[in-house]
Amino acid sequence: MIMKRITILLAMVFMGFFAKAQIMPDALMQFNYEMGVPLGSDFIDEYSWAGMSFSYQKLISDNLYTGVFLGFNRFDQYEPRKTYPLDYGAINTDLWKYIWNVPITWRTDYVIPSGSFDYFFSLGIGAQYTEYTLIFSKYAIVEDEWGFLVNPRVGVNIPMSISRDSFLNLGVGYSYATNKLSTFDTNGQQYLHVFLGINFEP
Amino acid sequence: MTQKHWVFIGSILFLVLAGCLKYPDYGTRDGKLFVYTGYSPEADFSEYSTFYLVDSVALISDSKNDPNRIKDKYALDAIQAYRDNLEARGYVEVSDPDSADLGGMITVLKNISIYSSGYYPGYWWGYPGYYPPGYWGYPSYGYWYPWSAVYYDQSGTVVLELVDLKNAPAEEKLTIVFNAVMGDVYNINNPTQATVDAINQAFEQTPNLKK
Repeated sequence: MIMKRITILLAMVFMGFFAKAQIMPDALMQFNYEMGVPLGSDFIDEYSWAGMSFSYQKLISDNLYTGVFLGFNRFDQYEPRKTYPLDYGAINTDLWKYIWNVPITWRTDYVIPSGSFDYFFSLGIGAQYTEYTLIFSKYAIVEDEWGFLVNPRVGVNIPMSISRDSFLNLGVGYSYATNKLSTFDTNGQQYLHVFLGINFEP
Repeated sequence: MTQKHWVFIGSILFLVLAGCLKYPDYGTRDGKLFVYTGYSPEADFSEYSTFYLVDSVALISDSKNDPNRIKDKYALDAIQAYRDNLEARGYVEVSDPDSADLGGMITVLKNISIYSSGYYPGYWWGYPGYYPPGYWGYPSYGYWYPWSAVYYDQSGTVVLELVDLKNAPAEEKLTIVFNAVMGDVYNINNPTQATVDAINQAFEQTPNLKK
């Protein structure tokens, strides 16, 4: 029992040693599963598990990675059947409300090694494609727009190997995009993201 | 594998997943049809007393194998639902369009391939199955929608129209005073019952359509 504890302790010490003495990978590729929550939206307020991101970054100085980030998030919400009055008529239907976002940013991460895992602070700046759709039966009302996007993120990279060339990463992010969609009366898009994925040296 | 390979594979994987996840099945969940209704802002429905209904449903289809008119159980149940609702609103059916104040017709759109440029509201009016103005005794008149009605050009749409026959000679046109657009009848379990329910709903959401 004592030997086992000593072994674990030694492993932790060595992991810490490697962390402090690590050589950062020259490049990092990241695949994340992204959960999103719309913030301040009258259109959809339900969270969504349908999201993913992909990034490729190069080490440009001791702790700084920079590169491209591409993602998507789908949000949808079912609205049970009701009657919507019009000026001279009405519509009775159930419907789906749907948002499709594709963020494309230039992303820079500041990585702080700390014991057995690394913290990272990230800022992505770029553009976001947003598509809003009302779907009823086989009919749809669609509007799409591009906007300017800011996407800060924080998280941790947990090494999955002693050589520290692959990591499990998880964290949270916030995105604000300027997309305005007149049909749907929206002015700006805000989302909170929770992400989980892998980060590795390709 | 080089970094370029990884970036290429990663990008392809990403795009494939994005494509798969973009549009899941967003069909209706309650087994009912979408129902749009509209009516003429100028119509005074209390001025009408009688109505005449067509005896078959017009079928607008590009397929030469389809009949222009249908008179099966689906059509007869839909016409009966139309009749029941008009009678419930105080109108009396007559057997001759010449003596009717209102003319009711039902059209089903199916397999239409004229989506491209040049179509206009009511573009199916010239199709063989659609009841022409001459059916009502006014071959030289045109149909007329006095409001911005909703039109759909997709297959599976059922259109209910109510024509003002009473004022047609004075106005020299066949004004549509009420319409209902319902669908998708080709993607629903039990389309006959769904259409009957949709016709009932069309009247329910148009309470001013009454004698």
